[in-house]
Amino acid sequence: MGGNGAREDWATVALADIAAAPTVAALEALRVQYLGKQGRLTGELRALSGLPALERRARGAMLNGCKTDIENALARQRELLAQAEQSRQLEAERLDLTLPGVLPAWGTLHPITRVRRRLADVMLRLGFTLRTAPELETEWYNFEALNMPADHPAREMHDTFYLEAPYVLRTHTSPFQIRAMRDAGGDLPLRVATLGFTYRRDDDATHTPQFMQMEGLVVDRGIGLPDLKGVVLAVVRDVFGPTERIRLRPSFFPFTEPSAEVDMSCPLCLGAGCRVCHTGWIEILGSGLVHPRVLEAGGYDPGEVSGFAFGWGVERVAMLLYGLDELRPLYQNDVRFLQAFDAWDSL
Amino acid sequence: MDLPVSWLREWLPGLDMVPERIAAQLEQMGYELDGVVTAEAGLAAVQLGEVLERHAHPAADRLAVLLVADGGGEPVQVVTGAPNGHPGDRVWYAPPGTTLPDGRVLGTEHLRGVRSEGMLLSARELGYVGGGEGLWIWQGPGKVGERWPTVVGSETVLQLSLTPNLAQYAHSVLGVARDLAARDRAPLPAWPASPRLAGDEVLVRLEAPDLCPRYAVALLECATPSGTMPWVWQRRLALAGVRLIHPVVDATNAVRIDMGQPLHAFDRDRVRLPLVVRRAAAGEPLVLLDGRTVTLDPDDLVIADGDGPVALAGVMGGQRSAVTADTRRVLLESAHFSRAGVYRTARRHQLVSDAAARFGRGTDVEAVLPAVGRFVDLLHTFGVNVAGGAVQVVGPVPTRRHVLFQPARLRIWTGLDLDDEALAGELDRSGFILEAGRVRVPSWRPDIEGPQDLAEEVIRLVGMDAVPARLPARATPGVADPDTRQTDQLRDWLVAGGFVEVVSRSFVPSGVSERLGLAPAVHVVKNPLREDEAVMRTSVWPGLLDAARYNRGRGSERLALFEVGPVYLGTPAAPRERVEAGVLATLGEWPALFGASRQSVYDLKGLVEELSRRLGWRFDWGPWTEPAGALHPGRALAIVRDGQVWGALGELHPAVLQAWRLPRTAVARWHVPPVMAGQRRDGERPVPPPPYPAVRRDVSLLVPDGMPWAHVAALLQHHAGADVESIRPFDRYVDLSGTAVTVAIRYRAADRTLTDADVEARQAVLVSALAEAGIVRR
Ligand SMILES: [Zn+2]
Repeated sequence: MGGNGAREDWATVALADIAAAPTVAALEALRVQYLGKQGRLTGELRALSGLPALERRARGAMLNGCKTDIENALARQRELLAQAEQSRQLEAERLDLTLPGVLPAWGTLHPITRVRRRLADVMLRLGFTLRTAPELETEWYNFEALNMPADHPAREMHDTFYLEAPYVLRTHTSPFQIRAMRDAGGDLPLRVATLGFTYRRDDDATHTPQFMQMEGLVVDRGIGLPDLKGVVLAVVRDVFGPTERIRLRPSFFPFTEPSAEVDMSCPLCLGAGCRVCHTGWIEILGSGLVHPRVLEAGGYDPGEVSGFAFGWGVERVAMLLYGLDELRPLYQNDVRFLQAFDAWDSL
Repeated sequence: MDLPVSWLREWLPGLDMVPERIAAQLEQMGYELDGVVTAEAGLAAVQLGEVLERHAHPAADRLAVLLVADGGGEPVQVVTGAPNGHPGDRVWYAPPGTTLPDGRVLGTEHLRGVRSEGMLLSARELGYVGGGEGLWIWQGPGKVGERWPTVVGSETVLQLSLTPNLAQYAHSVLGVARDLAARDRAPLPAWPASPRLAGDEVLVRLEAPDLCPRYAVALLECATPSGTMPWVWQRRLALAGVRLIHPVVDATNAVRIDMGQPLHAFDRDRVRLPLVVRRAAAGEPLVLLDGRTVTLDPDDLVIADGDGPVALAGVMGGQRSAVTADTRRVLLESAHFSRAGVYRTARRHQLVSDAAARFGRGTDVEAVLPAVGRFVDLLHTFGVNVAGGAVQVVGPVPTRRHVLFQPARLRIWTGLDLDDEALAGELDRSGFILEAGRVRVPSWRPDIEGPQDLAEEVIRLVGMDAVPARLPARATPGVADPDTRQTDQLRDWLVAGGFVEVVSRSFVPSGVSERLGLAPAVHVVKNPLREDEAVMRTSVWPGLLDAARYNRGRGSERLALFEVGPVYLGTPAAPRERVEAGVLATLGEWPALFGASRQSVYDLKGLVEELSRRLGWRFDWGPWTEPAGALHPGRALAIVRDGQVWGALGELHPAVLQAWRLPRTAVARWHVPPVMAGQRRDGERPVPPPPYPAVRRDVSLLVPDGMPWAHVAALLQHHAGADVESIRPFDRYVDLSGTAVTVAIRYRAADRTLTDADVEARQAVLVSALAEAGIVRR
């Protein structure tokens, strides 16, 4: 409070009125009433000129103090009124946020793509170079080059879809072995993998006529079953967890010798035995050391080098990874089903 | 192959393993195990009973009511239609709940008003032959009340699947027994004694040693059967899948299963000796056992007598010389036929027989004579007294093959830490004998071709579990596949755009490509599983449409789908696979809670443009000129690259919408160009945006009727100065004065802030240039 002497009553009333002004308009009226051209304070200041110098100085100081007080009060009240106005407006804009959220149009990747990428990623990290190979393949690449001559009984194990000769729908990804070896032109070491569709005339709960396979191939000097076991174990553990175990059983494929079927400890029951695995083990993939004739067909000398190869059904991995009983839903493309994989994969 | 364990023990009397352990050992040797099954499990409750009383049935002449003691408390009452079963007879009683071998499940019944609990059984009802008519009056061991499995012994069957290599040498009881003995470190089973060769008369001449290296015949006098086959053998043969026909034929089947050596029996009195093993004459006919007549080829091997062929060697006998119920003199053939020869002949004449299947896999040349000895033994066992006559064999036993013994490589391949001696010792267990750096291969192992097979044999004996695990010694950098990386990037951006990925089959129905105006199908599947999977797709559209229909049918209202996958083009003689991307979105109001978003074909157009910009694929939009097909003719565009149509975009034709039961829907597809080696992206390098502000000017233009936006845009582009950053139409309406388009033009200079005057001057230039083309400011 500036100035000398006590505040006059009119000024006290002015400050009280300002503090009580209910609207911006009422506040403006008060401003005019006191500070306008015809206002009370303006009048009081004007009247100063008729006073003696000594008195004029003292009263002038008092009036200026009043003016400052009134101006401050006006500004404060204006601010308060603005805040109240905004509060009222915000209150009027209130939404019922208990209403449900609107779902975004969310895209999602197919589970086969998810698993394919996951496997490709593991193979890359294990030093495998990834490549593609034709699905419409010649009988030579699909059979002959893989040690299955025309009347070989093993050909009957492959329920082949035939196109115009000499083409077939490849029954496995193994023709890629020949292509990869030939492209490598004898270079060592060779470590390649592929992922792609293969086809067999087979359709039931656990087989579809079209399915995706992953295949890996390593050729070098001194390669043996321990390398096969180590790589497959690394892949299985990467995908299913570090406590997985595998076991190999002798088997037969015309293009590997020795051949081995690989079982892994059931990820669903952790090897205890369950409805899916019965024994605690699940058969997952076929593998073996590359047959000498296949190495020869690929341009390598089987007397000098050896190799191993393994092939894994991507759908089988998906079934185990996602706990599916059937293959069919994977190819039904039901959007509700496809969208359910995001929540699972984000874990 | 169903293998009764008791049969296995015939070869391995010292085998000290329960069936489950045997099964586990075989699995470790590469046998696929389908099951370990207790035989006759349904008969577990069948027990030996004694008939106490027999009464006539009060209401039926042919039935009798028997009271039978079953070793429990009260005797049971059973109604039977059998004429036998008198007090004191021991009979087999099946209580209610029993499942008979023919599948019948027994209960308690009332037969013509008389209660009957369960059933008294005949031999046939228990699955056996012999035992006379009516009830099986049991003369064997056992006490009243004892169960069937206790009295006759239980049998377990190993259900094995053999991979093709195992089928070559282990498709017999002896074959499995050898593997098991080797694995168990027991001596290999010994051959049965070969019969002594006898007789001076020439019984057989061998004229085709390439197709038949060795051929034996034996003349046997078989007395009338003195009894029935022991039920243990009946059960073994039944479990192995053999139906009993005639003791001689049963014994040949038994030896085939037992030793893997098929035999053939001729009726001695119906052939004119000597036999000749020769190639058939072209066109020579032969009536086979099953009544079919085959016309032979010189590539077929036959057994002939003085009157012509009597058998198609290794495949099937002829009708003329077949054994009958009256046969007493048997001429038994035991031969080694060429595997490929039998396989070809069976295929040529489309004949299926157990013998052909067995010979086709390969048999053991050294088993030819022992099999004759085994046959005689078994025939005795089956209740037939045999008197041996002449036995002859032609063709030498070939020397056993050798395979190089390369212990160092065996160690590399197997990873086993075994020295040379230990490796040779392992192989010796399976009958491989080391001789001067080579191993002699047993005659029964036609599968062994080279040193790598020896590695497998060692592994089968030692076990895969003994192989250590390690990562390959030499490290390599993994390199991703650039094409896959590109398509995965595309997938990610489509997902970010709200699209759901589908994966469809590569097969489509024939005709669908043509109907949708796509490239006609090139690759026809000759043997499809279903009619609608007859050709390889040339576009992902059919799969997308099917997926959309499937989801609409299940209540999905708005759909935004994509597929990126292979399509199959080229020609039948030169296939070409390309990757195609396809998108599909239903249009119109997309329901939301309050308010709605609209989806139009322009959204899809923008998506394609943005994806292409991001992936650095340059293309142009062109008019869609295909006359018919999937697209609405007034709402379609071609995607053009290098003068080639590279894809298409548009709304689906109403006829297609109707056929796939879809609402208004927009689609697009385009080929994803492969990434060339060393290719540089032709997309834009990221540049920081200029620091100077942009100025936007909107201008409403009256466009002459029928003038497409592309024309207006081209004029604007042409006259726009360097400082025009973008030109974008954002409103369009038609009234009496024509079509008005409101265009937002953004100006920005790279080097300074544009003044109002700068912008006005540029805008004036643009507007006056447009006016000359008949486009005026509104
Ligand atoms: Zn389990």
